[in-house]
Amino acid sequence: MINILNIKELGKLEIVEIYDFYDQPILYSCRNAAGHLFLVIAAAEDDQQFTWLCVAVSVERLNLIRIGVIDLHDAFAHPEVPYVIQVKVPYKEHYSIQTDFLKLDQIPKEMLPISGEYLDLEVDELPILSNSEELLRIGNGEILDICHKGSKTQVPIGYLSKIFKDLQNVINAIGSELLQTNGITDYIKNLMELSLCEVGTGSFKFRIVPTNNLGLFGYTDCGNAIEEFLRLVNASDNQTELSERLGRLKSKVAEKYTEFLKSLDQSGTDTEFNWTSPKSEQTITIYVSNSQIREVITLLKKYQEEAPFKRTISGTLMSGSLKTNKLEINTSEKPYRGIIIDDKFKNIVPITLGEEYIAEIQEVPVKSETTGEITKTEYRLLSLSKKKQVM
Amino acid sequence: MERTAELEWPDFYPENCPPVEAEPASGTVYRLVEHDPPQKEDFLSTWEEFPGRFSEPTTINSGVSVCTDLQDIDRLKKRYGHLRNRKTAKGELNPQLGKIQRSQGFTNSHVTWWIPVGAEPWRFFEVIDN
Repeated sequence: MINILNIKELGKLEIVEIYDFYDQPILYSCRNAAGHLFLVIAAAEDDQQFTWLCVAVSVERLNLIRIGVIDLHDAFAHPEVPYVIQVKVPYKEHYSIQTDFLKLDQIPKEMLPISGEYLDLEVDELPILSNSEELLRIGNGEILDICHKGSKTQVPIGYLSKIFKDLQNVINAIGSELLQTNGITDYIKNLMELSLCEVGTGSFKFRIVPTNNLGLFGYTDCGNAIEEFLRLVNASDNQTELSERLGRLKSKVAEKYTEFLKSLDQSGTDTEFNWTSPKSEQTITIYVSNSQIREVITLLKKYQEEAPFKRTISGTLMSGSLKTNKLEINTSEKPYRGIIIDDKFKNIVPITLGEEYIAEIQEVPVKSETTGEITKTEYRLLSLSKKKQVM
Repeated sequence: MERTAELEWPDFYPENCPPVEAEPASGTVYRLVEHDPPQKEDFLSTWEEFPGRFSEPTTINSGVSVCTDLQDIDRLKKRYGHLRNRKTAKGELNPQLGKIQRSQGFTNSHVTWWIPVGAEPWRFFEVIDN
């Protein structure tokens, strides 16, 4: 027997609710043994097989779909995860089910519901998920609590907005490195997006969760980035480990991490991080004192001066002069002006303005002669190659 | 009350199918079909159409789906890619064509229809799409 409810990539599924039935259930929610929810819709058929689309969905979003806040088209075309699962079930028993993970722009339009079709269930919440244990199991599995220790019951909103922005930036940078993307693309920003879901009083606390909070296997790419971030935080009292970790990371991460720590330092108090994830069975607590934060900031500054960071950039060559020994490359993030060309690159001719290049550059902090402070950052060219054109 | 001849059910029907609560077929119903005019293949139960998909016939997969509200048929076509190109057929049911039961728990006018041996339902339906 070939069974749509027994897909090896998803685990054995059980139906939670059927929303539409026509000769068979054609729109239903189901969940696997790990408690992850999926919404499944009949999408296509031909002489050989029946095709279903299946999308991972959080309990909150499923409830919005059920009561008609989110339409069925968007439920599949714009889900919380960047893919839908296409399941082709052959009519003949000796053929096996074919499962494909489709990016959202790969979903055939004819398989999607037409926009404007809404469910309209009168029951507000999934009946089987009403108890708190189920909600905990199926709801946001990855939670980061950041708590400023002390007696503060209020904080300036300017501080909050800065710390949120800097936290998001460091997670984006780590995510970009973990997924090996070329810079912090929109794809990374979407995957790594954090949401504030709760603010506590007393010792001021805020609860942050990955916006795309349901990974297929119980954790998200964003959660992985948060864990890497917490490893950095945890190394605050161990300079050797911190140096090793930073050495493995690209400069962008160290730069953004430094900015985050500077923001955190403004609180003037110790900070506790609590991380809950399906991957780690118990909550991980990391306590970092305000003095440790300052020490790490100092170490990061020193590290940056002694071992300038390397980075690979990809962008358009805007100008180049062998007379002044300088290049300018515009990337999607920012222009890199005044890249210093060593003599060894003078033989790279011809370079063509307006063409796409990949350059490895090294940051060179420039200090003020009077104060000794770093006033700007220049870049030294380590390698340069033309970007291959994608046909 | 009009007395109907005893209906004979297909061999694959499980015990107690149709259920005792099912009523003699009657009324105007709509079904999505592939052929114009409708043919026998348009009225196969899911069990008959895809026997490899199920471990055994059940009350549900032994019946066929119809709707009593035309708007529900239109909605099905909008929502589901596999139904979008099907044609809407309208039919008048009578007790000789089997038994029906309105579905519980669905939001539309879905009715499950069990068709007896010897019935030729396609003769009672016509495609109404323009």
